[in-house]
Amino acid sequence: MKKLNRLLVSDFLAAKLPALGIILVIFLGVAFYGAAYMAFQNLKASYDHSYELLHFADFTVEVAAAPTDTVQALESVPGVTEVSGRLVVELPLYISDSPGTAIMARVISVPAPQHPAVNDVKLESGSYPGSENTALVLVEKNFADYHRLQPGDEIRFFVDGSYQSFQIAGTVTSPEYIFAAKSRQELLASPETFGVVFMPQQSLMALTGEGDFNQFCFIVSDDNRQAVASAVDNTLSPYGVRDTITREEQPSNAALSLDLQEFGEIADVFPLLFLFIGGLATYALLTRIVENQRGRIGMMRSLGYSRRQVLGHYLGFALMIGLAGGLFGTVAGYFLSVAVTRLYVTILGLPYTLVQLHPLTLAEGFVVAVVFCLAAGFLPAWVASRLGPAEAMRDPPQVKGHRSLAERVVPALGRLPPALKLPLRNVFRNRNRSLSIIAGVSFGISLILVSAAFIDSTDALVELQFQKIQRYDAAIDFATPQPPFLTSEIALWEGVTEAQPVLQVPVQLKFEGKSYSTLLFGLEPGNRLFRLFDTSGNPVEVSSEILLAGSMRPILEVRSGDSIELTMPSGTAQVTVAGFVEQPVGSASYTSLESAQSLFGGQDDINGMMVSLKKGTDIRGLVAQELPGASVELTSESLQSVERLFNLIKAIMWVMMSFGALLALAILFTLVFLSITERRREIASMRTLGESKSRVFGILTIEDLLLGILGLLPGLALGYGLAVYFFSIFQTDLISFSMVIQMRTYFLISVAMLAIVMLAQIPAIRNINRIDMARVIKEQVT
Amino acid sequence: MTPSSSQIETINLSKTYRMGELDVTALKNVNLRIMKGQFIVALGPSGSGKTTLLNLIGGIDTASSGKVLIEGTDITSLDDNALTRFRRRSFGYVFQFFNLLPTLTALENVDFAAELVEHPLHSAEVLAMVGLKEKAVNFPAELSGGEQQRVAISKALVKDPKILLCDEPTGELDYETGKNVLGVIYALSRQGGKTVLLVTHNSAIARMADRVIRLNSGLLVADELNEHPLPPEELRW
Repeated sequence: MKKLNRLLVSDFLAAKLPALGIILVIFLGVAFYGAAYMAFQNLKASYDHSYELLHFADFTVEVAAAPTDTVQALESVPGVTEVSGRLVVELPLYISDSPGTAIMARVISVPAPQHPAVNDVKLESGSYPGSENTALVLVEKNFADYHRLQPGDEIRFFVDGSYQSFQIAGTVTSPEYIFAAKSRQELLASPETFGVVFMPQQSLMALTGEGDFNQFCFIVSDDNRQAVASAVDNTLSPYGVRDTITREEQPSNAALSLDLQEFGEIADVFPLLFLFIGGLATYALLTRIVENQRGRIGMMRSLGYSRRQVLGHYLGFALMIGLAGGLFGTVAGYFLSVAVTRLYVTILGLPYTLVQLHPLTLAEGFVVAVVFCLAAGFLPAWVASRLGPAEAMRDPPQVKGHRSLAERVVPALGRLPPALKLPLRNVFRNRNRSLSIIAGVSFGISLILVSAAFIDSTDALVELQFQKIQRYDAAIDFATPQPPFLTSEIALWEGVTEAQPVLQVPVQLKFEGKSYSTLLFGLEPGNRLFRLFDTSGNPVEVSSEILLAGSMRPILEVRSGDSIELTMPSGTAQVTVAGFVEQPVGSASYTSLESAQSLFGGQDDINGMMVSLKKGTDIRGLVAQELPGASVELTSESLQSVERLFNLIKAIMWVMMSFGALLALAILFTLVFLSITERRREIASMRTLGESKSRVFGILTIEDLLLGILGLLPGLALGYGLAVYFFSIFQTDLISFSMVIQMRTYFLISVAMLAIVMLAQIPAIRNINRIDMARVIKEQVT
Repeated sequence: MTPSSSQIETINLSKTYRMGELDVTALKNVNLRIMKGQFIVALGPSGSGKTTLLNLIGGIDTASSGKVLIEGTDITSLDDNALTRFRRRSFGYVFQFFNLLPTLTALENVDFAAELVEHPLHSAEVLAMVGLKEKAVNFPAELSGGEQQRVAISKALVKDPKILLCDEPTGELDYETGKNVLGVIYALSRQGGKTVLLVTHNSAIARMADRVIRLNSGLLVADELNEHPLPPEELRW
């Protein structure tokens, strides 16, 4: 090994503690990038792969009813590559060994023994039904897993007043139900009350008495998809086209895309914060090393080492940090990405998983880390290379003291005792170091605040949905429309304290060329079980006009007072938009029950009931006994289901918070260490004067706490800005995730960050304890 | 302490440093008694042990063996906290490198030291005493070397210590400035009654001392009284 390289290694070992701190920061940044971006790539590849192998539809058209041979006509539409027709119905389902109320099952026909050409399913267990046994079904895996259903188990459908038994032939995953959403309006459907079943076409038609298809799923050639969709619409127009759902709008895919987008954004933004901080710290460390080694630089230059060699020598130090952080980060990033991908696919139950090594991503993280470190190290290395031999061997200029900005702004601070003035002025003493500490604290806080914002907001979302809006204990979904007097009957049931009728109708809203398919809820004005709030949080009541979820405003570009067209199975009508309401999940519309009934064919029927219950009331038992075919959704179960989903988000956010805390700790540890090293003589001088260790420690800690406090405000502001940016991704009709950050969160984060600052003082304590006053006091000034 | 007893006494004082694989004896069995108010100069070449002796007496280094008695208290037996308190009350240090806090003004540096004791002298007066009244609000970087050293002396003095320990106080100063600084220290000894132990390799400075001790290779090789100490302005080197 060349002497210069050996020197480099020994320098590196001599500065191992601060260097390790920076390597840790670089490591975290690269690992974060690798984990998040490769998880993003793996998930995207897994979704795409699953969609490709299972022929996920480019779009699906819903019609009232169309003969099965319409498929042939659709196949001949130019641009259509694949088409399959199917019958989709919702039926009350009973699981044999758990008697009680029905589960609302979406039953989808499949052309057994063939697989559907579009929206195929992947068999996870059991077998695909053949043509010989007509009483076999396939159950979607999420639902099967939740209810522990296995091939061979029996399930029953309640159709036309009687129960029909079917045997489960197998469990399947479906590209349409990777995220098992009921609809865009009911994204977070609980498997307790909603499930998907695939049934051979002949069996389903026989069961329901329907002979036609009501959905057609298409795969089309990539070019001019819009034109193909229009041609398909024309072909299907005689059969009452109700809706066209593109792949992008498909609820499961839309939810997964949102999640994926968040992954991508996080992978783009946060690692940069780490690398930036790592770069700043590298700069601070190398500057310190160059200052310490002026004598050596002078010696090297006088011996004949060229400027380029000196530059290379000190850049080598930065390179070693970049290489170490980059290398370990890359390896950790890979394994973390595999872990994150596997966690996700396990939770989601993806049909096919592609966990790949993405060399380019790994290389990207590694190269960026090295480039950041080299760039950060360039200036001090260049300064070192510019020093002439004589100049280098002279003492560096003395630190210039001056009154701090704070003292100039608040002259009273000038009257503080010197022991307090000292940390105040030291804050402004070494700007690079101070800025690095402030930036480290700021970036750490911002990362923590973004994560905390997600946690606070999920809590707020749950509170809004389940405490403010949805105040009923259970919602009963009747299989068929029921007369209104049922409300008073149910209200008299033992344990029911209040009952409110609901009429729920699928509608399509149109306004100036834009349309949106959703659900219209007819509610009793003044009901206390389902409260509505305008977008400012004020309570609003339903009326004969229509209230729309706030997220529909940008989609339909509609305003209060506008008249919109409402299309229902029974026809179309014009209604006036009364206003917009807060709806965290999904985007529904609301009107008075009377108005909904009038729009929905003039009958005074209802198809659902919200009830509040006395504690311990077995509403499912009551419904099973009194209303066969009706299903019951318990608010407590929905809440549990939502909380399960949010717990995953929260777990990820806690990991991110830990990364933020670790970032701040590592950078503070490094910079405090440097700061102490820089001031060993001052500390020794204070100690010889008779300053106690605790007082010296106090002076240094106050300085770092001041810097920490200076970092708090920009950190909180940056975190807030980043949170606003990330939350903007979640402002869709699927989920309207309002950003909420509690005051106590700001407070707790600030306290936690100051605690981290205190923790980072450990090297200070060690240094003060170990300082050799006699030796340090005689050292040359550096 | 009786008037005739020593203010500083070292008994078989030794210090051995571990330098890698080697043990280096910096001071070996030094026995010394220093009376109150004496101005003592310790002379010796580099590595003779003079700074080690000063550091051990001042309690900023620990002895390998032997004792250091300051007004009867064996400071080698004190724990770190007690030693810190002892240093605070008893000693004022002046070093070759001035060791000022660069972000505090001259006056604030002195105040910083003054805060440590219950009855300090008045910082501004001490600065005036060393001729720095006009420079009280200047930061160290705005002062010359001699001025910085005078601030350092003020820092040592403001605590009104009984003993002033000076390690090469003129080492970083030019001839004239060095003499000025020595003048201040001399006046403190003569007018203030402080005991001064000044370590230097400059034998010319010894002529201003009441007593000169010489060290070589860690041994006390000479201990001489100077019957006719010269004022610093008469020194030449």
